[in-house]
Amino acid sequence: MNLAGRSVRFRLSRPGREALKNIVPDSEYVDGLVVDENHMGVWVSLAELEPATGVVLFKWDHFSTAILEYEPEVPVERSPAGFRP
Amino acid sequence: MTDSDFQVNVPSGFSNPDRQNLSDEERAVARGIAGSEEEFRRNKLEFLAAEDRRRQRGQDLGKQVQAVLAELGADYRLVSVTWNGNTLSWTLEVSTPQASHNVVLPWTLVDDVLDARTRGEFQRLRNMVLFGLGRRELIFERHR
Repeated sequence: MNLAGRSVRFRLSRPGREALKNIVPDSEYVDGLVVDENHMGVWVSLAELEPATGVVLFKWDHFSTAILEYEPEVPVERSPAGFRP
Repeated sequence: MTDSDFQVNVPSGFSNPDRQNLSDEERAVARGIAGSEEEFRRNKLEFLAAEDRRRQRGQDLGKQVQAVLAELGADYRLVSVTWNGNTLSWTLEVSTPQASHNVVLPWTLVDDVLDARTRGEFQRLRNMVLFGLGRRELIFERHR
């Protein structure tokens, strides 16, 4: 699952809480919007971070769990590929 | 381009847009690399058809973005949608009351949204557009 564009609740790991203690509220859970992800981790926009367009990197080992709302939905029906007989 | 009120820019890989008649330069390339003029013309047609499909995708993306901007009011207007072949991303140029903003979206996200067309995927597009425009408060407000 690609997280970019999704609102996610992160459960920070012990190293994550230590690394991010001056940046995010000292809490086990942090909510944010993932704007990008790469081999280092996820780049997150937080409600309390300034400026509004600023993002912070959560390295992969900074969190143990990512929780997000997921509603199963049926994609729109598409015409089958190929030729008509 | 179509009759919509924003531009869709997909730079072409060919300087000669003629789909039937090759230019002298293209003939020279065809003789040197492609094997035959017919093979070059066939490959060019396939390439140009792919560019047409990408323009349609840009048009579709622009309409979805306009729906997001409608929430923000008439002062927010989509000016152009541009494909960046080097970074495989789309750039949206949006006119706002403060200034003109560029919002860059990776092709993976755009394809997810336009292929699935589900509410959840459209929400991802909305979030990324609002974030790119500095309207973060509209993303987080429903969680408060």
